[in-house]
Amino acid sequence: MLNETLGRFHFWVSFLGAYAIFFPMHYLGLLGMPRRYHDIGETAFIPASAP
Amino acid sequence: MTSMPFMSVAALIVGFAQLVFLFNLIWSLFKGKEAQAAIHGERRRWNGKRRRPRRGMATGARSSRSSIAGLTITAYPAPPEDFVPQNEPPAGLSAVRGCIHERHYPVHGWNSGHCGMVALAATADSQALAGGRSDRSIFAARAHSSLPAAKIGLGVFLAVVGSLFALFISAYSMRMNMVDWRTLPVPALLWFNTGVLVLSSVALQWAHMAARRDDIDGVIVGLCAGGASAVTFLIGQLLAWRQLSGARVFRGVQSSQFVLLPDHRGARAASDGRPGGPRQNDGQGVAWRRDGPGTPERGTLHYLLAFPAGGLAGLARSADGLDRRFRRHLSPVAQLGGQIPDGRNCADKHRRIACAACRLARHRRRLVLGSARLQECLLGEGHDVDLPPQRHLHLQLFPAVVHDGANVHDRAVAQSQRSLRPRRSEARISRSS
Repeated sequence: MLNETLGRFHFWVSFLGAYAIFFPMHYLGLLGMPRRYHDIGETAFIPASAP
Repeated sequence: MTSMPFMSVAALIVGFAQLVFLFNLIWSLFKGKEAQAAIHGERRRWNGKRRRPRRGMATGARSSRSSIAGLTITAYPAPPEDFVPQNEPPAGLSAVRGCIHERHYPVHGWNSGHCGMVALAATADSQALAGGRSDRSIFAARAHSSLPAAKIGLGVFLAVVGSLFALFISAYSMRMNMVDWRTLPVPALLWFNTGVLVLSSVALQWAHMAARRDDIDGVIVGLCAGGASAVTFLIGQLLAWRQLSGARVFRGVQSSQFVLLPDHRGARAASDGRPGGPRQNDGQGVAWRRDGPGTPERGTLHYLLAFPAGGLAGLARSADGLDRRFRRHLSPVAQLGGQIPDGRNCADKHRRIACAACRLARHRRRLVLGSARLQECLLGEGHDVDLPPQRHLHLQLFPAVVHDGANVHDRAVAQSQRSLRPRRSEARISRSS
């Protein structure tokens, strides 16, 4: 039987860590970072009127 | 873009957690504690019948034997194990000698609408409880009352108040974008009020949990604390309003909007009182239409007061739970066996007991064994169960439970569980004893 303490640690770290990884991307997207670019780079060329 | 290192670090930590899991898996494979069996007790036994070979789609060996392991009701306290061998007395009832009455009745179930399974238990000559029966009329009588009216009303009320809050917040945010926007001074008292509101919610939730524990003192303390903090909140709002109006932040008709929100809060918390703040008869829409560009700070307090909205939702939820708990305590069904000891030859009494059993089933979803003529236990409804058209209901009765069971309030007197039919020889022995 698996160790329950380690299992609980694994669950919570994975559960919260997934949010910690992917939730900032949500805000990056709101800030205007285009999708599917591995590098943020220069985004000034995006016009302000872009959706 | 300061969040990039954060995301990288988070990804590293999560990857490390997977290593922990792998270590846990491999380590426990060699050094871990040995797991218990998933189902304790004996294996399922053959019910003694030779399985009738199916034509057409039969895939198994012809000599394969099946066991019946359907939904059963056993009328003794639920054992700690999930399976009790048939040749052992049930846990907690070792004094009872043998299984006394045991009958199998087919129970019909539907899979549509309000249909489900109903087990009707009947006494005859104060000993034999019967098996299961399905009755569509019971569901027809219950169909309109499956959801309590209080719950529907609470839902509608919450929807109205929630949309009201949403409109306030959206109006505030729209107003904030105008050029003449100025921020209001925020009295520290408002934060105190928010804390008091959170305290109120916590107290009511605590009362709810106390009611679940059947701790009536805890319920009283929690309710009093919740009410006291609600009154404190109302007084605090009044004082905050006085502060702001003393500072001449708003004048005249604008003050009505400040009072509007705590008014809703008061209507919910105290349900009888209105806060002592001055109110004007202007509706909110009228006030907003009168709102000129010269009075920009009108909506700020709405925003501040919208903070406790989450606490309000919790409050209403716990109040609903309290309602259910109290109704369960006040239910007359608990004394079902004691009040009507002998109702055998009277149709009115039968109907009354049946209605009581109906309420009982709705509240506890259990059978209470008493001298009631008819009892029913709703085993499942709608999407809860997906039953084949015919199942066997298995009732075992023990005289100690039959006579004392009506006074057992919070124990699982009868509980659906998975069990087996006894072998034919055991069944015969138990019936003859």
